[in-house]
Order: sequence, then C-alpha cells, then structure tokens
Amino acid sequence: MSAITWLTAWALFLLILIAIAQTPWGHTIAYYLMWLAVLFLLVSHYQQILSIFQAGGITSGS
Amino acid sequence: MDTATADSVIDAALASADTNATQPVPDQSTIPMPYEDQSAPTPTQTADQRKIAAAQEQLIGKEAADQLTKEQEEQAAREATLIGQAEKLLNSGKSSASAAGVKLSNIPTPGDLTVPLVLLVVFFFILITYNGNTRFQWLWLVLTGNAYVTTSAPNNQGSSTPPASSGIINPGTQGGGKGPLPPELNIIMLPNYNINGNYGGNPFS
Repeated sequence: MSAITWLTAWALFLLILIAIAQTPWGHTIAYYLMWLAVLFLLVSHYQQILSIFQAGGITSGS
Repeated sequence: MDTATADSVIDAALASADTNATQPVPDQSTIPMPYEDQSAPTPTQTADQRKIAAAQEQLIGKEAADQLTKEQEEQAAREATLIGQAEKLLNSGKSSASAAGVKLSNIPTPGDLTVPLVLLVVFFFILITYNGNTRFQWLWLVLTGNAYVTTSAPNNQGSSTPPASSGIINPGTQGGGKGPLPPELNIIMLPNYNINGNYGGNPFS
C-alpha cells in the first residue's frame, strides 16, 4: 500500500468523523469513540506507561 | 337528519322568533333590572335558541362525521396498497430513528470532544514509538543536543565525516570523528527505515 493510499484513508476517516460529530447524535458517538481510542492506547502501551515512572523513563530510549 | 330537514328546523325556529318580535313591548315593570337574578332566561328565547343550536349541532355533527368517515376510508384504502404499507413502515422507521437520535443526543458529554482529543495527542507523543523513540523522547534528545535532523541515512559509529545534514547537528560531534554519532531523526528518507512492529507494518513500503 502506498503512502498516498494510507494518507487518503486517514483523511477520509477524519472527514467522516468530523461530519458525524456535527450532528447532535453523532457528537455523542464521536465523543465516546475518542475515549475508547484513549482507552485502547493506554491498554496497548501499558508497559511504556509504567516505564515512564521509572528513573530515566522519559529521556532514555524505549 | 339530512340537510333539508335541518334547514326546515332552522326556518321554523326563525319564524317563531319573528313572531315573538312582533308582540307588543312588555311593561317596564317586567324588564329585569341589573341587580335582579338573570340566570334563568325567558322560556320563549331559550326554546328558540335551543332549537337553532340543536339544528346546527346536528348539521355540523353530521358533516364532521361524514368527513371523518371519508378520511378513514381513504386511509384504509391507502394502507391496503403496497405503497401505503411502505409509507407506514417508513414513517415507523423515521420515528424510531428520531427517538434514538434524541436519546443519543441527550447523553451527557462532560468536557466535550476537547478532552479525549487532547489526551490522544499527548499519548501519541509520549507512547507511540518511531525509530526506537517516542516523539517526546526525540524532542528531548534534539533539544539536549543528543540527536539532530538530517536528510541522510544514519551515520555509523566512528565515521570521520559528518552526515550531509540540512537540520540540526550536535556541535560536539561534528567533524571530530571521535566517538559515536548521536541517533538521527532521519524522517525524510522514509524507505530506509523499518518501522515494522510500531504500526503493524510499514505504510510507506
């Protein structure tokens, strides 16, 4: 898959999300989808999150 | 009661009222004064008005009933057809969707979209790794002089020539040839980098 396809897919996804978020019902859906994404990000990177609280966890390489 | 019958009743009532109007003017003593009890109208007037009102009620009631029956028959005929059933189904779906939309829009969204969006951006910078470090780590390394931005491929350790750079170069390592070069943020030459494992595949290959 080329970079153009990848970027276009992301652009389309964001446009659709923004368009849905403009409606009263879509606003709620987009809001909780964002929170779901935050939750997935935290769960999938929990080891990195824990390493942040160790000495040098932020400035040293992962 | 049909229209002709109703008309005849109204005519009779009006004729009776005319007859009463031609009667002589009553004595002043029989006219009720304002302070007297006037709740009970005179029998003649009440009977006439009652007749007219009853005739009008019957006439209007019959017309309204006819109209209602006609509308109900038309509605039943419309619903009996396939298009009518489709319309009924469509209206039912519309009302259901509308109710669901109202319920969804009434769910509270504390903080609005800004809060999760800001959190996503922050976590993107401090959690997603690129070329071994997160964006935040790369920023820290660049700001502290431990990394620089270049357009060339990463230079190997011990190289005596600095990379052809168009970005930030650490002065302590430039041209000295002593010690390893710091890691590079070579984000321009994308095909040279393997970021498999970070994004589940290289989207630029």
